[in-house]
Amino acid sequence: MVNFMDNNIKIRLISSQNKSVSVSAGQSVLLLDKIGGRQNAPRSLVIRLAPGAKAQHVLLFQTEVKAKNESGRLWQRDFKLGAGSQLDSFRLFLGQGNYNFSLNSYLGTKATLNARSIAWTLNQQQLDINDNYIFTGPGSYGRFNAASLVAGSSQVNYFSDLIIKSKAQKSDSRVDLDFYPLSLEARGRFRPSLKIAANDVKAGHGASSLKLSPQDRFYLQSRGLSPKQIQVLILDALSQRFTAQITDASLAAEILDTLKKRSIE
Amino acid sequence: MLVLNYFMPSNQKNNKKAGVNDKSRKKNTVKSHDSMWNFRGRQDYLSNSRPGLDENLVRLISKEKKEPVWMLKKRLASLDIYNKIPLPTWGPDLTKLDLEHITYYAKAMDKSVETWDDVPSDIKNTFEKLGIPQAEQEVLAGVGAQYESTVIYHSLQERFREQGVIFEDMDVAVREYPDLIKKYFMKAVPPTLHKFAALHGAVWSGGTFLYIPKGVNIEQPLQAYFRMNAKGMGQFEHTLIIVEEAAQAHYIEGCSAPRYGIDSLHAGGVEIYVKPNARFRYSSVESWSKDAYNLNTKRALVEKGAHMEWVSGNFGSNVTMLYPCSVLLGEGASSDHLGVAFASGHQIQDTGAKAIHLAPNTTSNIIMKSISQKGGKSIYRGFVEIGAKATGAISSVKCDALILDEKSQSDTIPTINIKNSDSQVFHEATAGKLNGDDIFYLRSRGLSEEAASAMIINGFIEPITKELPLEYSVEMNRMVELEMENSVG
Repeated sequence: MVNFMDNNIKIRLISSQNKSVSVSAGQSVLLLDKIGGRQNAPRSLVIRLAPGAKAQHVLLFQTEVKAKNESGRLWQRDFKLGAGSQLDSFRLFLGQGNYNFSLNSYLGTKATLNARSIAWTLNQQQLDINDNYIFTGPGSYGRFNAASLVAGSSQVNYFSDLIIKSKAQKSDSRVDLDFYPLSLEARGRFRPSLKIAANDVKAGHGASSLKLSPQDRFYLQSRGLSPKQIQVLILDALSQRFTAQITDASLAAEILDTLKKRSIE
Repeated sequence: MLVLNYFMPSNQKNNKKAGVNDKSRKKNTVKSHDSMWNFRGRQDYLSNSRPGLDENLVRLISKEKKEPVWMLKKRLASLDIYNKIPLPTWGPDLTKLDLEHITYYAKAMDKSVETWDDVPSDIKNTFEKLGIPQAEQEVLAGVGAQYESTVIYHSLQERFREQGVIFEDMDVAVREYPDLIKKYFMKAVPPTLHKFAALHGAVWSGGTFLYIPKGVNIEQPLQAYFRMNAKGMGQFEHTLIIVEEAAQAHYIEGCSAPRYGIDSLHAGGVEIYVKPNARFRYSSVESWSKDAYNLNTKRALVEKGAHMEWVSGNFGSNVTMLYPCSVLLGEGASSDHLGVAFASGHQIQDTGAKAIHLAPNTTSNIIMKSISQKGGKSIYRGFVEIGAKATGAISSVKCDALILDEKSQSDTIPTINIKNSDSQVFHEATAGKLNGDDIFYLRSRGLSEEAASAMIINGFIEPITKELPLEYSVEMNRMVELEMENSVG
């Protein structure tokens, strides 16, 4: 995670007018990319980190899409990390209706990216996410984790390509896609791909569909917890882990509150 | 110990016998490695064949085999589907494969025989070079051998025949066991599956029919060997295996072809029906020449409490697209997929596995290893589906890739489709290079860099080779050593 040494972080709210946002070296900035409510960041955005720059990025997607012509339209975010730059990116996909997201991250020489996502769908919602990480420079580093919480008869399709170009020798990368079905009718489709054209690299990916073992469930129920309370406990732990590294405490609290509300919807 | 000669040329074998020292053997090996696919044999029977595919050819194949009308109808329906389906839009580029210039049917012998003495000497010579008759005597329960489009030899130990086991040339089985064949033929691999399954349905020829009655356990493996010998050939053998309730067996397929510099095509079809509580292992060691397209389709339908194992080694061919599939139909059914692919030079090894869970408490386990060198590209392409009724299903996938130089590539493309909440799926993959410390240690013990690399790679693929009979596992290790020659420095 990015270490903001000066503790003087500034929140920069991305407006709908922005087509691209640049962070220069020496800044300590948190880019708030909020979609929904009164605030709408643009449908398509490029975030550039200059060599040596450090930033956090928080994407909060909470839009209700009711109009048919909006449903399924593409939202796009491109992240371009210059040499030695560092980015923590937190992506929260909530909202209603069907969405299609394309996220592309390009990592230059010795760039570092930590990305953590929660996609939480309800009812008959369908969410399609293409979340790709392209390592272009040597010595680059990335850790990417996406948790899909799928309730009702909704579906998440999460495809993530880890692409290591031939010049990205000595890069170190890993992507994990986790599926948490919250109902019997929940559906998930996952494809965590590795595409590697360099030989001196560390690259890995994992995907898992998780449920409590009968022993764990029995233990928690024997302590007086109902199945619903057990689920809330797990969701709370996930939410805490998601927000733990967000440097702005009030924003982290706001996200926790949003996630709590989602769990009782 | 018997060493099969799938990959090892005869002069190397002779060197071993004569006690030729390692240095001079290595010299020969470098030369002979290149000649692995150079032995060609006679091809005069080709005068009765022609390249290209049309309805007349399909009717001719059916007529020559004296097939029943239903089979001809199936062939013609498959041809129709083939003509309508486009080439796959995913995976390796197949547009360079010139389907107009493939010879789809060539008959080297009129019928299959049961003793090697009845096989014409030039064809027998080919199989002797591959070590098949010797293996039959020493480790196998039965052997089938196919040369071009027809099976030329088939035999089964008498004691298994007495227990009701059928191990037969597929062409013969269509005529002699029509009810069984009609019930199962191309039900697991329908011609609508993809273009090359449809092509297979239209021009299939030869292959193996294996029927194991209820409760019969065959301890020794049965083997079939497929040789595509002529220039620009296509081989489309059909393997149909029925393992009845609580029966057990192990079947091994090997294949090779000489190198000509123009494309050849292998589009076989394998269908396996594993009945309740039966166990079946299908092993294949594919070593087509490096100008062959290997577009094979393999599927098993696994019933209640039954277990299916796929063990595969892919070393040859120009382009391979091969994804053995287990459809877990019955409660408690399970499958294991173990595979190794070696992509060297211009080769593309696009291999993987599919596990489709359709019943409760089914389990699948997939372990794949790949090695890429000298510009080769290996791809793991997998598919795991957990159906809505597959509650309590568990699937585990583990893929490891070694990339030996800067020119080579490795992709891992798993798709996981989950349709119920009461299941567990795990996928894990890693990619990297040979560990420098390991090579340094082995070199300090006196090994050359080449030998050290080969030793580490053989350790890397050991989870797969240990599942093969010893003779085959030795052969696979030897194949790695041959591929590693001249790979360093």
